[in-house]
Amino acid sequence: MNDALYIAATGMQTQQKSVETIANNLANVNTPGFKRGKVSFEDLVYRGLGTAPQQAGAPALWQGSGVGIASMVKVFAAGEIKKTDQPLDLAIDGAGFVEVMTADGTPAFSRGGTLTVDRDGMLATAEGYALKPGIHVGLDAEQLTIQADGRVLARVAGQKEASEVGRIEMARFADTDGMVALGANLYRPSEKSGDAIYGKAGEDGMGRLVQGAVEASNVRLIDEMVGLMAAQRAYESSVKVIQAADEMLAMSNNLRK
Amino acid sequence: MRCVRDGREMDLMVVAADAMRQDAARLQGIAQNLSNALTPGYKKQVASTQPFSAQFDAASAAQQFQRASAPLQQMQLDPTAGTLRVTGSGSDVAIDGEGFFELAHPSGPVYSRRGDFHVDSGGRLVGAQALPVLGAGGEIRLTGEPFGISGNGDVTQGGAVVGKLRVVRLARAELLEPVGGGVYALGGATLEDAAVVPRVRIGYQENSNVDTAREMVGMTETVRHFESLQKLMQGYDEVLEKSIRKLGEF
Repeated sequence: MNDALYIAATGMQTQQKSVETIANNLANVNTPGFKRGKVSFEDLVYRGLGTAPQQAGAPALWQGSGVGIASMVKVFAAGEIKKTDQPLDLAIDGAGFVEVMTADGTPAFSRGGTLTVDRDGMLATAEGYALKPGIHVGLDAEQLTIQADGRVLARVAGQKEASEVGRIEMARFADTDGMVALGANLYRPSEKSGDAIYGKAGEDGMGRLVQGAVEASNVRLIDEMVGLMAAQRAYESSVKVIQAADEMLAMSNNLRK
Repeated sequence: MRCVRDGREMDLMVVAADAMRQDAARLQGIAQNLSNALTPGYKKQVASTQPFSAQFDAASAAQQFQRASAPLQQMQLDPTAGTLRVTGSGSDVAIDGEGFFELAHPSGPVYSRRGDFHVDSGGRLVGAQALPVLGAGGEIRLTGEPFGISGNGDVTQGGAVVGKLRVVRLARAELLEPVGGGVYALGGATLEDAAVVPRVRIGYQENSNVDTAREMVGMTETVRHFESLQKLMQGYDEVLEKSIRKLGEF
């Protein structure tokens, strides 16, 4: 009977995690480029009861040990692309990522967002991580154009024509869902996702770049609310099991008056 | 008729204690089902207690008494399909109708109704527990390109069919043995020769088939049954106490 207590406790723990993920999703419902988190459950290992080897046709004796978290991943379904008309806003219409250099020198991948030109004149994310390969726009650029295929054109003050200053390279992954979120719209590849596959925007399923737009969060309020209700009720039923197991334990203790 | 167990006379206390242990095991099953009420592809377990007469008959037929260390309960699965939930993800596949996906576990093939597939870093289509999905011609190998699955189980990539999902039919699926992680070993079930023509729904996930209301009823029943056994034992204890006192008066 103690087992029932522990099995139900696993139910409470996993539902708790589920509610935490939902809370994070709901909190980021208006965060551009945010990808919703998803917790998926699995039943934990089963153990056989009894020590005798099972004979064919003998009653099967096994007992589960509750529920666990199979994976906590980000769902990379596309968010709606919203037009902002800001020249430094960049959205990716497709599965690809833009590589950036983080402070510690490790590569990370971004889904776009609002870009800036950092103090060295390099194109960088809003957090100041320079794009890789570096694209030098210059501090005196008046007009910046990012084309769908990744070419970046800048017009410097005094010039008539814009000239190409670089090209944004794209990357994608065998299993995008396996990427690890670093926050701030940045992701790191993992063993599960595989290494980056590089390519040009608009080719090989990389997606094309959309200047003057940002990708909205892909959180769907209704789904989250339904998930929240289901998680709450599942939590509740595990609590009831714990109460029942506790009651039965109390009764056992009261066998001897 | 005298029943002897453990070399002792079968006593009301022993019968009641056995029944109480069975109730405890039943509650564990309910706990397992309820904690997996939201686990996709989960098949609920049902415990059926063998009536004492059946145990007794079997034992006397064998001319020996078996003392089970655990309550004699037969654990079975309820293989009925769960309801479907829309996920909208192109790699979520639910089997429409009967059958199971076959996955390659290191210790042999395992079966699952869980269809949240993805491609692992080695380019294989994998399902529950990241085990490779066995298609019509073994593992399904994909390149990093985006892939699609169609309603008849064809796995396509770049417009070409690169594999086909296989859905197998199992006889006596209720005797599958759960391994955990949404996969089941064959156990007492048998593989039928004829594979099902795959009919899958894309963008759906099969919900757990646990019916929480039913589990709650089962739980209430179990607790009350346990309670009545407790009362029985307490009552018997009182009877014993009284008789011992009366005998002492002589």
